[in-house]
Amino acid sequence: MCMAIPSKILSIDGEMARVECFGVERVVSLMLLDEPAQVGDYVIIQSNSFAMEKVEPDAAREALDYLSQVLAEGEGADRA
Amino acid sequence: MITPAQDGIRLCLGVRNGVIRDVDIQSRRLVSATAPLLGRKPDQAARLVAQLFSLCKLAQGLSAAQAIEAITPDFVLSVPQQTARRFLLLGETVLEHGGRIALDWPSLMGQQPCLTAVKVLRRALGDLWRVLYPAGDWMVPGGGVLHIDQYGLHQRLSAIDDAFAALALPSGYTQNPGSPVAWLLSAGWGLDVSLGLTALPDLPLAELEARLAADDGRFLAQPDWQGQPFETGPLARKADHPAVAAVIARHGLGLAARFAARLAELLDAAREMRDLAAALCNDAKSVFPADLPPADGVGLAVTEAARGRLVHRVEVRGGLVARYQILAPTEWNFHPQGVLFQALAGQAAGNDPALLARLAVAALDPCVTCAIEVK
Repeated sequence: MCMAIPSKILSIDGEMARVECFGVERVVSLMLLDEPAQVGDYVIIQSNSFAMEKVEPDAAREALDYLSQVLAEGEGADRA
Repeated sequence: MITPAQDGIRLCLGVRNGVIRDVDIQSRRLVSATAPLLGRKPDQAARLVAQLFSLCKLAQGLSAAQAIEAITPDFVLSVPQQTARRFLLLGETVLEHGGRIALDWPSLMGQQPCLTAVKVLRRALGDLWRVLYPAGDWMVPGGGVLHIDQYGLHQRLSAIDDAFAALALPSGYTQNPGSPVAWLLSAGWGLDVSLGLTALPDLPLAELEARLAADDGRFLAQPDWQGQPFETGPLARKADHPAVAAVIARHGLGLAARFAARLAELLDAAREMRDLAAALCNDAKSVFPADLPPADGVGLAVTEAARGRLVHRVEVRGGLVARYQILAPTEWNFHPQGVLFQALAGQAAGNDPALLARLAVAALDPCVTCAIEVK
């Protein structure tokens, strides 16, 4: 249920940013972030269109590793 | 293969002769996400759960802690920890409901989302745990070290009032959360669609435990109780609220009632937070034997999260997590024959059936990503 999937900022144009997550790119608004963001930062996206918070690189990598593990193991029996 | 970035619900509507005849709801949610918890120590699993969920993060982390605590049959959480957890869950409810109302409702009225209110709420409540559990150990089974920052706490409560003042809603809504319904209905979006209410009842824990223990994945993906899908969330909890009941009496049990219930619950949660603040008190590290949970056992936790009923179940074998299950509210509400299906099937399609679908999703579970196709 609504996992915190970090997306990496690829480019920034004003209040908008192009982000990437597991190969999927999209454009999101940075207007709800409380702190400045820069290319290379990891952010959590909500409502499919807003970056809501920045994530520390180590925490982002741990989350992405976890999700990669989920994907590698395929659809398991127990779901969240 | 679905990637995490494509996670969500796919809704396909079949329209014939101006009526929505077919409603096909398919979950593309990346829901098999608990396997990597296996083989970890229970307290590590709770910490990871809290880290991995962005929405209902506190409900998820606290449910994990509670499920692990439940492995010890005679364990009782201290009153200060119970109060602090309740306070955190209320804060999350205010953040989730307030954020959705600030983003979604102005859009319904053709206005810009109320970003100021969202930012104020996030600043006040996004890390509310800091003013209760400065070490960040709020999700530790048995409870973390409670050390209340009274100044910070009251600053954050005050910010909730600021956010409410910034919400672009008709005046008087704090006294009567049913009042904005007429305003929303004036947009003419079909919010008065009638669909009834089949509220998820309290489930007997022994039966729920047995159902989960025997589950092969189908119950978690498409839950039912005695063969019937149920609705969970604000209206299932708030149908008896006077303002919500008044909306139901006037406009029926449609989408408007769901919006009114969300607002009523938002205001009630903020009020309860203010009431509860005086009861928050420091608590030393709990007596829960964190390094002595039973080596084998099963624990179950049921939490009313902002979006609905959340269930966690953990099996521990040899001191490590052997199985972890999460039953999320989305799976009840977006069951293929559940309340979303009922909200749309047989309805007049109007000029824009996709918009009606978006409204229904926003009323039932505004946080889920939903791709809509009309045939």
